[in-house]
Amino acid sequence: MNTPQNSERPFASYFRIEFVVLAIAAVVMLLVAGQLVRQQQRADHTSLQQVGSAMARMAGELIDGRAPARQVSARMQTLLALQTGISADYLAIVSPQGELLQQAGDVPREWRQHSAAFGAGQWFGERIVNHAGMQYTEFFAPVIENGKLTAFALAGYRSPDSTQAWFTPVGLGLLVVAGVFMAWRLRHGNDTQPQPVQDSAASDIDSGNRKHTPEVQQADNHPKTDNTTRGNDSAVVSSKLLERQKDKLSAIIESMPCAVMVLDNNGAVSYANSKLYDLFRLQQGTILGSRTEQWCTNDEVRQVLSSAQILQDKKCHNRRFDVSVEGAPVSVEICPLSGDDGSVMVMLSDNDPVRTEQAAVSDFIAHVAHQIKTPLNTLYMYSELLQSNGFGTPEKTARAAGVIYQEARRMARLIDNLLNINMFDSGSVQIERKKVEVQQCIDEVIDNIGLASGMQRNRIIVDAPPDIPALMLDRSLLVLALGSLLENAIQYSDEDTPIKVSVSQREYDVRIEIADSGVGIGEQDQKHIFDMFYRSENEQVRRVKGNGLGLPLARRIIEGHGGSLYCNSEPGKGSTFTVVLSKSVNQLEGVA
Amino acid sequence: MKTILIADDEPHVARVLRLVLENEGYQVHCVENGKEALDMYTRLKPDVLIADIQMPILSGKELVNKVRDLPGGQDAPVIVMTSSLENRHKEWLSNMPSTRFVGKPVSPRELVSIINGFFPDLQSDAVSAAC
Repeated sequence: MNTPQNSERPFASYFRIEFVVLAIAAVVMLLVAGQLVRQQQRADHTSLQQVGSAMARMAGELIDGRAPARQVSARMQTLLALQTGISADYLAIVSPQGELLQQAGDVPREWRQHSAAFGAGQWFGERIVNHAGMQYTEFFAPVIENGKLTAFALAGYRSPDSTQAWFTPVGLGLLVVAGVFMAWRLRHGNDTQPQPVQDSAASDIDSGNRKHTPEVQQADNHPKTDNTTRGNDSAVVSSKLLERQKDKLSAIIESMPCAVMVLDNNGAVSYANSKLYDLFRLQQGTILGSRTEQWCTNDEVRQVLSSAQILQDKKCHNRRFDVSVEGAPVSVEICPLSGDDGSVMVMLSDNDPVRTEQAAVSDFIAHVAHQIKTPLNTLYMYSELLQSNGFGTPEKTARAAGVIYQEARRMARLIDNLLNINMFDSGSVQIERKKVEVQQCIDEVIDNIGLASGMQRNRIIVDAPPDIPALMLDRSLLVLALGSLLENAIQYSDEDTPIKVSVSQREYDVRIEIADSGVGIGEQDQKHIFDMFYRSENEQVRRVKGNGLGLPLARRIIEGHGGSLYCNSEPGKGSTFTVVLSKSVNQLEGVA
Repeated sequence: MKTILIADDEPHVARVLRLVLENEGYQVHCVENGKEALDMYTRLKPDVLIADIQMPILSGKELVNKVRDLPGGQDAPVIVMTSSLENRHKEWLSNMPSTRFVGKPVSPRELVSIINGFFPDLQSDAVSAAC
C-alpha cells in the first residue's frame, strides 16, 4: 500500500465535471443492465414454457391404463434422463384433487402438503409453487384414459432466484465503472493527486490482485448465479435445438416422395403432408382431426383405411394394398407406429420403382418357369411311358426317344439363350473380335442348322459378292445371331419355299438380309418381336415351337457389335430381317 | 365308348395322352387351341375335356367357362392342365364344379386314374397293363 501524498487536499476538489459524467454513465449503465435482465428473464420464461408444457404432455402420454405403476415410474425416470438443455427437476402424476399418484426425480419433500387441486376446466397450464423457500414452476397436462380425464401430469422446474439474476449485470457494471474511473485517474495523475484508497485499488488491480472487488468476486463464484446463467443459456440453446429438430422432421416428411398421414387410435388424421392433400385434391390442413369417412370419397381407400383400424387392434406388421386414386394406380402401405397409442402411419405412393422392378422380375421368373416346364412336361410324360413300355412297338418307342432328344435340346437352347441374354443385360459379355469373313460365317450357320434339323441345304440361296470386306467380329456370337434369324425363317415358312441370304455393302456398312416367303408378321406383332418371351397370338405362328428368346438375343448380339437389326414383314408374304454392321466400328483398319 | 377331347398346343403332349387313353379304350380327339376345342366340344359332346390352361386364341380358362355355359356343360367332367397354379386359378377352379386340376409335369398314369375315376362302372384291365 502506497503512502498517501497530499492528504490535505480537500475532498471537494475531486468533484470535477469528469467525475459527474462518470457517475451518470454508471447509473445509465445500471438501468440498461436492469432492462436487459428483465428481457432475458422474459425470453427464458418463454423457453421454459415451451419445454415445460411439452414435457408435461409427454409425461401425460406415458400413462396407460394397462401399464403397472412401477412401469409408469420407470418410464418417467427414463424421460427425465433423456432430457437435454432445460431440464425438469421432477415429474409427477397427480389426481385432479391434488393427490400425488406417481413421481420421479427430485420432488420436494414438502410437496405433498402444498399440492393443491387443479382448477376445473383448465387442462393445460402452469403454476408457481414454493417449497422450503424454493420457488418451482410447474407445468401440467391432462392424462386421458378411455376418453376421460383421470389425472394430471406435472413437470416441475426450480425457478432461479430473481435477485440473483441481478448480480452479474450489476457487478459487471460496477467493474466497468471502476475500471474507467481508474484509467481516467491514471491518465490525469499529474493534475489530480490520487485518493489513497483509489490509488491502492488501482495498484492492486495493476498487480492482478482483485481482493478489493468483492462484488465481482461474489458474482463470479456464487453457485446460484452461475447456475442461473448457464441454465438461461442452455434453455435458449435447447429451445432452438427443439425447434430445429421439429422443423427438420417436418421437412423430411414433406420431402418424402409419397403422401404420408398419421391416423390416431380413433382413425382420425393427426398429421398429413402436403402431398396427401394434393393426391386427394383437398385444401391443405382441412382433414386434421377428421375420420376417414368424413374426408375420403374414394371407396377403395376407405376400405383399406378401415383395415388400418384392424391393424391397430391386432398390432400387425406393415401391410400393403393396391388401390386406384383418380384413375392412377396407388400403393398404400400401413405401418403401426411404435408406442402404445395405437397410431398408424399411412403412406400412399403412385410411383414405386422398386415394386415395378419386383413385378418385372416376378414376370420374368414366371416366363422362364413356363418355358422350362413345357419341354420338361413332355420329357416327364414320355419317360414315364417308356419306363412301363407304354409305347408298345419298337418303332413307336424309338420315335418317343427322338421326341425326348428334341425336347432336351430345346430345353438346352432355352437355357443357353437365357444365359447369353443375361450376359448382355448384366454387361458381363466379352466380345472377342477377330477377323471374320461374313460368307464363312453364313456357311457355318447353315451347316449347323442343316445338321440339327435335317433341312435341305439347297433351300437356302446365298448371295454374297466376293468383294465384301472382312470385319472384326466375335464369330461365335455372330453365328448365334444369324442362326436365330435363319432358324426363324425356316420355321415360319413352308418347306418348299426358298430362303434368301444376301450380303451387300454400302459406303459405311455391310448388310446381311435373311428373307423368307412365310407367314409374315402382323403390324402389331412387329412392335414386340424383339421383346423377351413375346409370342404372337397368330395361329400359324403358335404352331411353331419357340421360346421368344431368339430374336431378343440376336438383337443384343448385333447391337453389341455397334450394328442394328430390323425387320420388314407383310403377313402372308414373308419377312426380311436385316443386319447392319458398321464398317467404321467393325472393319479391319490397320489390323493384320 | 367314352369320348375324350384333348386341347393342347403342345403336339407331343397331345400325342402321348392320345396313346395312353386309346390304350385304355377311350376314343380320343386332339385340337391345338381353345377355339377349335370349343367348336369340337359343341359338335362331339365328349365325355371328358382335357385342356391346357395356356393356349392361343382362346385360353383353357375361357374355354372351360364357355363349356360351362353350354347346355349340359355345367357338370361335364373337365381336367385342366397348367404349369402354374396361381391364386386366381385356384379360386376359379374351386368355384368350378366337376373340374379337376393337374399340375405340370403331368403324369399320364395319374391322368388315366382321374379319368377312370369319372367312370367307376367301366372296369378296364388295360389300366394295370399300361401303367
